[in-house]
Amino acid sequence: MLKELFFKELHDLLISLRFHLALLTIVILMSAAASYTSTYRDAVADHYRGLNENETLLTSVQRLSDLVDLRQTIFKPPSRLAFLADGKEELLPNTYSVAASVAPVAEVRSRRNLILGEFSNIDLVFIVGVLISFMAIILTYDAVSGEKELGTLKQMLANSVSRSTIIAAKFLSASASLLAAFLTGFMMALLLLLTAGIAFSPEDVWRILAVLIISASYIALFVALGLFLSTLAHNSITSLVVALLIWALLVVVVPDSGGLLASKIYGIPRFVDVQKQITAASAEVDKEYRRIPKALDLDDLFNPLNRPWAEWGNKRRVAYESIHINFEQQRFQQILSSFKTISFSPYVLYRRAAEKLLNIDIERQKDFLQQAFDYRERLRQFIRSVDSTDPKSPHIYYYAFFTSQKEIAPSAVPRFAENTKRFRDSLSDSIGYVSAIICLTLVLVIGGFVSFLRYDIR
Amino acid sequence: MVATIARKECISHLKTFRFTAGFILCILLVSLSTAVLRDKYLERLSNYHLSQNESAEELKQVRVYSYLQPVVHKPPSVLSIFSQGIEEQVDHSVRIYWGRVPTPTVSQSKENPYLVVFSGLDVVKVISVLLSLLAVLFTFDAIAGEKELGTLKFSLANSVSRTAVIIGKYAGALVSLLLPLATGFLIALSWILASKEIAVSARDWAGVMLIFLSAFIYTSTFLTLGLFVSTLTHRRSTSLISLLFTWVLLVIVVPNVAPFMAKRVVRTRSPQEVAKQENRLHAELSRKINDHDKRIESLHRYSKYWGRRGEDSRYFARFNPSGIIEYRLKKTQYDEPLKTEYATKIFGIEQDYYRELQQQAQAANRLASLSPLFHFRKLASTIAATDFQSHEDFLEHTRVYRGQLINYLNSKDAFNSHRFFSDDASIEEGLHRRALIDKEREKSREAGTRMQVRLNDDADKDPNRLLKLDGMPRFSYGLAPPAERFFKGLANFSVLVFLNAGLLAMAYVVFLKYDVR
Repeated sequence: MLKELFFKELHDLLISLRFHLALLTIVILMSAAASYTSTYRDAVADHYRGLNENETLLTSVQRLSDLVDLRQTIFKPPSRLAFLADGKEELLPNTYSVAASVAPVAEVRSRRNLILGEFSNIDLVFIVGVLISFMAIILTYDAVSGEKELGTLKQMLANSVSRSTIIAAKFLSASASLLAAFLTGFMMALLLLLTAGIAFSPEDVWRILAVLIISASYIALFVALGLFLSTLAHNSITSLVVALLIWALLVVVVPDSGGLLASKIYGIPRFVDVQKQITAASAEVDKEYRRIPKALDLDDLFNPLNRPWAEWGNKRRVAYESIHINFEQQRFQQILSSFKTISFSPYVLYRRAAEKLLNIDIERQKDFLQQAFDYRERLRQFIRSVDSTDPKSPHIYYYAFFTSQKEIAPSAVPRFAENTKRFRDSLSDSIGYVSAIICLTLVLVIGGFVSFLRYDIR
Repeated sequence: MVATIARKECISHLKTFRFTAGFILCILLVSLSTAVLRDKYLERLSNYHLSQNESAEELKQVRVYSYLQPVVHKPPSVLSIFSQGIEEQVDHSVRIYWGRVPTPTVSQSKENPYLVVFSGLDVVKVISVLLSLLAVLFTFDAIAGEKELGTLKFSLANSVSRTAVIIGKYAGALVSLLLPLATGFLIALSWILASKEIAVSARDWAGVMLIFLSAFIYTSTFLTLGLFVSTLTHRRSTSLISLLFTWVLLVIVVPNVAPFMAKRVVRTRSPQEVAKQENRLHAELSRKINDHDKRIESLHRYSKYWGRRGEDSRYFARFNPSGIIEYRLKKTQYDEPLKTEYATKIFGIEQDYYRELQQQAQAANRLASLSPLFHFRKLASTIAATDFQSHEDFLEHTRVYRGQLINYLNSKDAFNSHRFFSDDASIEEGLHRRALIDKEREKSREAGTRMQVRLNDDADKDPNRLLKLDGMPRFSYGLAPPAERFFKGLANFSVLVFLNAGLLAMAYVVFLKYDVR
């Protein structure tokens, strides 16, 4: 019986106006999303141009002391899978300037156009998260209450069809039709991408599959929500209004309110105050070194007399860096806490899960900063190891003046390469979000089921 | 008759669940966003006052013309609480310097640059999404619904004209939507008035009223759209489905797809390429300066070490070693006009790039102009002076001011006088001090100790050494009055008005021929 009902419902949906409109919108937007290849190519070209410039800079190194203050630029490569979830890559810092002597400094190098104003990129998560969820509601709002209004529900139930069969058929058919529309659009996009010459690695394929699975779950979630609300109300318009307002709140408004929450609830120290803190910490160090000789022996830099000067400078730097790093962590924490607060919105859950699966979210940003620090550590180790072989050097580190003048081959300098997360790690990172979506879907499905069992069909 | 129908419509709307739910949601979100944006505005305001005082102080301490680089600031706009625009994404302070022409730059938030992962939420955004949805939900069944119920027949049988029915329905829905709109604005205003630091001037009031008016027209556009579609269809479910799809297209899809596609179709150069081009000019400039330095370095034996330290040589010039004055003077005479000239060249490159960006934005706007939401947001940000254009206006003011400053410097012959780098009124006095220092150094060398060079701090406190800046042009910039800003957004406003009039007229015409059976 379930089979017959399912096919009947599916057939009804597939010939309806709303389904055709939905399919059309989805296919057009998915094709639009695939046009990201042009900006991706630009980003890749910019990336390699930057890498080459940095390489030229590195080859100019002759002596070890040159390396100490050399401000290299390290680059976060643009994501190939940004058409799935964009992660606001264009607005976030994608380069760090790194030198052995100072903490990495973030910079945004992108083709952002300020005049365009603020907008959401059309990625798969946007299409599924905002539009398909909207269509799921439109497709299901009158599934139960509408049939009741027509009076067909009574007849069906009189005909020895169980209630669970009816609701299961409705749920499955609506999900299936939307999934079909979604997959059609996705295939279209994939075709466009492959003809444009984008090649995916096996890792990428796994990531894409994982995103498809959570997308399917998210679609089912909204179908279940629509059905659930439809069984709560006895008037199809009321159920639609409730569903739409819930949708507008959860999908359009709540995700944007993260910034407001961040500044209202999760405040962090103000930049000026942090600056004051740094000044105070430096003054503390200065006090400690008040008594060291005022003059630096500039004629013989390797003179042991200079050691306290270098120590003083290093201590200042450590004091600065600990405050700076702490502040940076607080900044990340602010974003993450705000995200957590608005995670009651399925759209936020879905986007976060996808971004984590694709390794394109704010955590990657945090990770990248960490890698910049790690790279600096490697540079420092390199400097130490070469410097230690020079008997003349005073072995005072990370000061160009006090570093060995030994000649080095530029090729011996360690290079930066981003250590991207493996799919398995991304998966285990995102497991919380993924399971939250699936659980929410199940809860709504069960809710719809139970509520339909108690539905008054008269 | 129209009034009766309008009253009846309005009351029946007010009693519906959709009204209550939408009203509450609207009020909550407006309160949240105004509360936060008000605090942000207050912070920008206090920053503005602080930095303005700082710059004024700095100007009072200027001793040499090379330091005469005033920093000017753009005041924040109170209306940014309603429409945030790009207020938080651009630098509001510009240093005026003859060697650089101000251009728009993206500023990373000092507080938290990662906050960009969240889009902003302001009153205008809340209204543009929620009220348009409510407007559609209020009117989709206006005609088709009554026809299904059969009440339309009765009304028309009762000597009520069709005109009265459609106008009454429109007016009733409009009044019932006016309620959440006006309440939202009142709440936002009370948040603003509740803080003592914000002084709301008559101009700001006018601005608020104009934004309210635009919001009103915008909401009404969706009402007329709803009425029109409702008259086109004979079943309310058809009317609802087509309206909801139209709504999602106009409010969600088009405003995001337009800039997204424009970015992909209208390509621009990479900013790094532009920077490279600029760097070539920078390199050319420094090569010329270096060549010139080499030609004149024989004038002064320390020139190799000191002359290249930029403009920070006033202390040194005070001690006036032999030849430095002539050397610095020659250098200034050559360098500074050259820097000014290159600034213009570099500005030309940036203008070319800016034109490319603008072409991209124009393409996006053309595509987005299908959507009433685009017109409303653009209008609101224009009135609030938070759009890109008003930032560009401010920068244009700073460019004009830079020209005035250069004229002033030229009138004072600044690039031709030692006052450019030295605050020493009499060069002889400086020479005298230089002789004293040489003596001191000789003594310490004999004693085998290191000489500690101490600057004459009294000279630093000497007010006579400060530059007299009486005739200097001062920068003054106030936001244009809202009426003028509104005039700039008149095109957007007229589109909204035309849409309203057109849709209402079409709804009317179609309804006249509507089969009520």
